[in-house]
Amino acid sequence: MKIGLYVNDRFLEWEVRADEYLLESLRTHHFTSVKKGCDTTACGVCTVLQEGEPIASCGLLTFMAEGKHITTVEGIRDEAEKLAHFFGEEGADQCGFCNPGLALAVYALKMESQKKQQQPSLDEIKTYLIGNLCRCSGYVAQHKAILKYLEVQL
Amino acid sequence: MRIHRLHQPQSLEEAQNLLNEPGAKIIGGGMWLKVTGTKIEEAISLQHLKLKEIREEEQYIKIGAMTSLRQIETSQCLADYAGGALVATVRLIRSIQFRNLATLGGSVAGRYGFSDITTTLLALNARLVWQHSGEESLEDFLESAHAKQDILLYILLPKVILQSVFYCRKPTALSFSIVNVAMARTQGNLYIAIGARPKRSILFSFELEAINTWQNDELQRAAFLEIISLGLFGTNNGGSQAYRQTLARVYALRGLEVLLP
Repeated sequence: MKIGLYVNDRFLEWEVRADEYLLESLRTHHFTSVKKGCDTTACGVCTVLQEGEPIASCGLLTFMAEGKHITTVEGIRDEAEKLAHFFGEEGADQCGFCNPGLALAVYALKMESQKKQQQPSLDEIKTYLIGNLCRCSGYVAQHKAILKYLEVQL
Repeated sequence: MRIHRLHQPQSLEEAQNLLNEPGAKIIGGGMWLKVTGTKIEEAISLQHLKLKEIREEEQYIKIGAMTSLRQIETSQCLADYAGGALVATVRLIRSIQFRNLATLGGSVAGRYGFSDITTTLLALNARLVWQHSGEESLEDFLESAHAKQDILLYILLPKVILQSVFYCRKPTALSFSIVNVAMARTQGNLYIAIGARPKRSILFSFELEAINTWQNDELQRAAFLEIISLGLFGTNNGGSQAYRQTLARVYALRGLEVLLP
């Protein structure tokens, strides 16, 4: 079946199977920043934004994304670089595999916080990012980096 | 999930007709269907049927079956309803990425034993509205012997519920509950729902007046705890019968402290 959707504001038309998941479709079409991890919607490495909201792309059938706006980390390049700067400062990166999904989730949190005009507390950040697992870092440096990013950006 | 043929009906009548075909199955959010690798001959997607809404009506709050768990979580209307137990329940379900995809209808229609949201809806005396068979209580639906070949349209939350609480124990934030307990009260009644037993949720109801009398009587309290826990629990990889029973009793007593005037 043919479906049309927006990826990083570009309208694309793809031929997909009915049971094809968005993760597979994105990676087939070279959006390989979107990673395959657990493939059961738990780990968050496949996180993308749908209409600005974080979703597990391994859990969304691609046909359900028809007409929707999907954002990968390539679509928030400037913001991802700003966040990466703080990650570098705090030594929050190791293998980097979880970073694209995490960057998108943090960006979504930033957008939500701007709407509420309220900076999230550390606990709120941890709760929001509970679905972005990292096997390398232990999270402390990541949280410090995210707090700095949000302080500057909000 | 494996789909042989996909249908995207544009009307409820079309969807109902499709559901009558052999091998037909509705996809809600599809979360559990994905995890279980279910094979579907004729998959019916409800995404074009405008079943995503949360609306306050005179006697109920009406929630469309395709409303996402995240929409429920962020709804001010539901945060204000009956002490906010439904929002508190949903907030503990896995991650935002998951809750933006999972639907209320999918969580309920599957009658899953692990479902936290079913337990809370049961305590809230929720009612279900089906396309073909009309309205029924969630309790009746959970107790019915057979799965339904029908389309769940709405979940109704009665406004007579004044206050509610939810408790659960999860080994990690992304895990299923080992046991869950939801409690709610009206002017005259107290409802206790216990789920993840590991079987599906079960409901107990009491007159508030009777509970108030029992509160200060050790023997009566013990009897109350026996009523709500005897023979209810089982053992699986998640936890033992004894652990579930102990937790459920503690949660029930905590709930009484919160709910009893």
